[in-house]
Amino acid sequence: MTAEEINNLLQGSPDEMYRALLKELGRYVYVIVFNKLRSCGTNEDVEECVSDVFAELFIAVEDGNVQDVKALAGTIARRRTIDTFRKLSASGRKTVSVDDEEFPELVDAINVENASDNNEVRRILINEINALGEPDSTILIQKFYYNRTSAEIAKTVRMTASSVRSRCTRAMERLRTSLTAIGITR
Amino acid sequence: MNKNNIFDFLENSEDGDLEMIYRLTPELSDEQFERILTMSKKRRNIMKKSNERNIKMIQKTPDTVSGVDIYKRPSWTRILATAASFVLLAGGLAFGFHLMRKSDSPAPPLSSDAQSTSNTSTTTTTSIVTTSTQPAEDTYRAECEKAMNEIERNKGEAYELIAHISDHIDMNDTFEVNVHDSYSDPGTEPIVTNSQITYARYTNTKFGSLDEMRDFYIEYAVKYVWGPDWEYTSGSDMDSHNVERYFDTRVQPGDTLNTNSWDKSDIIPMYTEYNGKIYKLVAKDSAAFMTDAEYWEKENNSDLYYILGDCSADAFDIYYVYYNPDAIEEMYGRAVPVKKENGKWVRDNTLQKEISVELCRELCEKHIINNQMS
Repeated sequence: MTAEEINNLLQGSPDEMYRALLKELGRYVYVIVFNKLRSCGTNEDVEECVSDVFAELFIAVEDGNVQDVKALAGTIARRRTIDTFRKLSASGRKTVSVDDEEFPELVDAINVENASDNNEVRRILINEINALGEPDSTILIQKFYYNRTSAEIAKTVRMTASSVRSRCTRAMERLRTSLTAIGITR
Repeated sequence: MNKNNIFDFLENSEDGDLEMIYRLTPELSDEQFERILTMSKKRRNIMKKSNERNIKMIQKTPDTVSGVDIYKRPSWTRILATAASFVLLAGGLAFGFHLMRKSDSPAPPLSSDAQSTSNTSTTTTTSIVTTSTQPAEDTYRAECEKAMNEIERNKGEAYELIAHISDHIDMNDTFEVNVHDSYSDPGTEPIVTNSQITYARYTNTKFGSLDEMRDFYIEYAVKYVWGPDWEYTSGSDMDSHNVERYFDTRVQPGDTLNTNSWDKSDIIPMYTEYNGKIYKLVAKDSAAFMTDAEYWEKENNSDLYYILGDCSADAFDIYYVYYNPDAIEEMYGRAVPVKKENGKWVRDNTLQKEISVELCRELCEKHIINNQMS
C-alpha cells in the first residue's frame, strides 16, 4: 500500500480505511503475532494482540506521515507481541534470591547450541513442507501449526472436510518420510 | 494450543522463515476478519481517548521540561562557607581596628575589604538562610520518609489486587458461574460453547467491601499514574474500562454470563460480592498464580528506585531513578512532588519533572550503590 493510497483512504470514511488496512495487512500481522504467542497463548490472546496492533496502526495512519505502512505494522506487531508474550509467560517464571545457595549454579534459560540446531531444523522443515506442493503444504500448516479443524481448512482450500483429512494423513506421511531420510525424527 | 509436534520448531522464526510461513498462511476468514475489525475499532477508540487525556495533562503543566537540574548542595559546604565568612569578617574588622589604633592616619580605605565584606555578606545571607532551614528539614525528613514509604507500599498493594495471587483465597468457599459463549457469522449457525468459571472467597481483611477495594485501586494505582484529579468516567479511557472490569460487576452462584467469544475479558468480572463477602475469579490451572511473596519480590527487585528528595512541613519530592548496573548509560529519573492536603499526603504525577543524568548518578552512588538500598 503506497503513501498515495493511504492518503486516498484518509479522504474517505474511517471505516473504509480500517477495513482496507486490515484486508491488506491482517494476514501479515497475524503471522507475526501467532508465531510468537503460539506456545503461551490461546487463539483469543492472539486475536486480542492483533487487534491491539491494528488499533495502534489506525491511530498512526490517522495522524499522518506514514510512508511505509507495512514496515510500521510489522514494528508495532513485534513490539506488542513481545509485551503480550511477557505478560502471558510471566506467571511461569521462577524467581530466586541472589542470597540463595543455588543462585551461582543457575543456568541461563537460553541454550545457544540448541537455538542454533533449532534454526537449522526449522529451515529444513519449511523447505520440506514447501516441497510437498499445494494444497498439501497449506493443509499441513493449517492443521498442525495453526491447529485448525478439517472443516475450517476445507473452506480455505475449497475441498470437503473428509478430503482434507485424507490429504492431510498422506501429506504427513510423506513429510515424515522425507524428514527421516534427512535424519530428523521426533 | 497443541504442543509437542514437529511444527513447534516453526515458533520464534526469523524474518526469512516467517516469509515462508506467510506464503502458506491463508487470508483471515470472514468471521475472523469482522471479529478483529470490531475489536480493533473499539480498542482504537479507547487508546485515542487515553492519548488525548495524556496530551491535555502535558499541556496543563508547561513547566514540565527535560534537563531541569534540581541540585541540592551538600550541607557540609554550607557549614564551611558560613564558618569561612565569619572568620573573614571577624578578621577584617579586627585588622581594621588594629590599624586605626596603631596609627594616627585615617584607616586605610576599605574598598577592597568592603567589597569582600559585601561579598561575604551575600554569601553569609545565603548560607544563613539555608543553614537556618537545615534543622527544620531534618525534623520533617523522618515524617516525609514514612509518608513516601506508605505511598509506595499502597501502590504495590493496589496493583497486587489485579495480579493473579494465590494468597488470600479460600478454595473451600467457592461458587460457579456459567458462561454461554455464542459467536455467529451472518447467515450461519452460531457456534456455542458452554462452560463454568469459579469464584473463590477473597480473604484479605484489609477490605470490607468491593467498593473499598475499588476506591483503593483508583486512589493508589490509577491516580498514582494520572494524578489526583483523575475521575472515573465510563468508557472514557482504558483505566475506567479496567475499573469496570475488575470491580463493578456483580455475579451470583448459578448466574449465566453471555459472551461472544472475544469480549470475555470485558464481561467476566475479576471480583464480585455475594452475601456480604468478596469473591475472586480463580483460574483452573493453579500454576498460573504466584504467591504474595513472589509478587513482592518482583515488586522490590525492579530497576526502579525511589529516593526522598527535598522536604518541608507540608511537601516533599520523591526521586524515581531507573538504575540498571548493566546499562549505566540508560540511567534516567524524575522528581514527583507530594504535598499535604487536608492532613493527607497527595502525590501528583502530573507535575513530575525529569532530572539530569548527573543527579541520577549522584543519587545512585549515594543511596543505591553505597547503601545497597533496594
